[in-house]
Amino acid sequence: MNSPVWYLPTIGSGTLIALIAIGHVFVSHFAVGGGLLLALSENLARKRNDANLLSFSKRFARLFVLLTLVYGSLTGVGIWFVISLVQPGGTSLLIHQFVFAWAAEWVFFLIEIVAISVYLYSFDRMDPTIHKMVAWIYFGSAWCSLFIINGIISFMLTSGNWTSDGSFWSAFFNPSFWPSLVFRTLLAVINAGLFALLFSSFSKDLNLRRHLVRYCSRLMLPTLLAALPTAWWYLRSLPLPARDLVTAGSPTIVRALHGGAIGIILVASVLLFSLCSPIRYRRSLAVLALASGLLLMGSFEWTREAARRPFIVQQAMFCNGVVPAQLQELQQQGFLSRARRSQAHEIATDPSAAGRDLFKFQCYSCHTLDGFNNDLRQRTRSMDQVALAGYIGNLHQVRYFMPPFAGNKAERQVLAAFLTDGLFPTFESPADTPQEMPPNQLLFEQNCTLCHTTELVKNRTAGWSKTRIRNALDHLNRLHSAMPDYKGTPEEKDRLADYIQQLNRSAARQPAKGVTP
Amino acid sequence: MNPPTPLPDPIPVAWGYLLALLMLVFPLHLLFMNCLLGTTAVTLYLQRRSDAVATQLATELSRALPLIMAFVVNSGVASLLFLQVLYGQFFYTSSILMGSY
Repeated sequence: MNSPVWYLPTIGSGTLIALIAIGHVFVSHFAVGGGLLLALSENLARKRNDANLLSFSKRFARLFVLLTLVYGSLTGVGIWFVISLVQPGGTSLLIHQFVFAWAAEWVFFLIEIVAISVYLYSFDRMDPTIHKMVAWIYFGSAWCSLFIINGIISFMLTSGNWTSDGSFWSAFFNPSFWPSLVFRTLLAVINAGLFALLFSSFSKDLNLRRHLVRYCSRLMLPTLLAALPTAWWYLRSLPLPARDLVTAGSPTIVRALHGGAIGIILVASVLLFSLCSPIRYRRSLAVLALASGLLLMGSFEWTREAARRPFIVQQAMFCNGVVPAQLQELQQQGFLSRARRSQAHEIATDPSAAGRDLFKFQCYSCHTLDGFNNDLRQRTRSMDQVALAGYIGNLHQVRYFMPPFAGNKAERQVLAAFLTDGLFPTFESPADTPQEMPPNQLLFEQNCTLCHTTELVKNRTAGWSKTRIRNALDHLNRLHSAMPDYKGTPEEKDRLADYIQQLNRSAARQPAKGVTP
Repeated sequence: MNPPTPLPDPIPVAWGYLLALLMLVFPLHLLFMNCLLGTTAVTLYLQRRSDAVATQLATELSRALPLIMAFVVNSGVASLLFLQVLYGQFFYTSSILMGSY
């Protein structure tokens, strides 16, 4: 929160990271699994004295070096550069907490580069036993890289005992470390197999192709099967709110999980098909399988990041960079006066700049303005300004994957005004509730309209009795698993039920136009 | 406005150790960078000449380029790490400023 923001309101920082990260993640897992595949296939070729397979390994190694060393490493640095700009607080925490882990990872990366270069440039010039050993050295160091990065990434999802003891080792070997490590290793093998299948489909040697397809499928199918229980184990290692987000909660995660399931099914069916009839394995199928693998990988990473919400580092920092320990102070004394690089320290001098800065510092890490991803303007434009200001104050209770707003009452109001394109309130006498809105309607606006349009609530409850609406309000979660229970008092629930029933009654009194009795 | 102050994240060892590491890897990065630039320039020059020895040399040199590139990136990563640990606030500001040029 103390940093200026690289502000691209229509694109959004998340999209920017995702664009670079998805390619990097795919290729970097390939860099691990591909090492194993290289070692195995060279081993096999030497054992069978198969010159064709050996020359395939060599050509595969060349593609491998180009993809992993150039694309993989450059996108890796790219992610780092982008996250240090859009999430400076989180990046700083990870850099400082794990400085020697990063350094160790760097050493393994160095070994990787040397090993794979020696491997490629000395393919026919080195003693086969030593050459094979170089491949194993490469795979070993690539896997160690994964081991270390995995510790840091899984720490962001489950910070475990670190929050109480602050020790490096509790942070590194956090609760989801081992399941995540196994899961990623399996994904790495699957990715490498997918690349090998695609590469082999370009080969003109039919015999070799058939052989490779069978070989890869046999390696990948059990891996895919093993990934399923590992995913379950992974899920079990998550703390409760995160696990709930994945299993029942957020609609975006549900969508991602469906994508992942489709990915798994597609990969598995392509593999089964090619195992049964390797001769009909075509380039188009290989591309389809690779795309499904990318879908699987993307859904997994998406789910992991979404389950972390509202934190960027579990329990230690919210996704907008606000530290939980500062929250109370910020809520009591105001955010803008403390935000070091905000240009609007006084709301009164320029309310619209204050609103924009509040959006920049607190919402922009996840939301865009008039953008295509998680657009906030679209959701809030038609909302009532006062209702929104009230809602901002308790949004973390209604949507528990959102961080609480870190600011005082005046700041809530100015942000609501900014988001609704409303008139900026005068802060000499801030009004809590508007006099013109009936209290029941206010209750409805504050609690229902951020997710539902009035129209939708009206249609869903058409013909319901008041008792039925009142009962539903007691168990909203049963209506839909993503819907949080309403935490109001029984008296508030009564009034809300009254209001909702009223919606339909007033509609009945005004029959729709064009309908003749 | 307040002057930029470091983010209060603790570092695990004394400042000097990290500085020493930075001073170790950053010159390496400079060295590889010069090497990459020089090799590229020499290769380009040799390739434009017509004699066989020069062309042969250019081919040999160009084969080494991806490898040098990898070392440039690798040593740059290590420098970036220690730089960000020690001088994160300045690095952040400079990245933001770079964006507007």
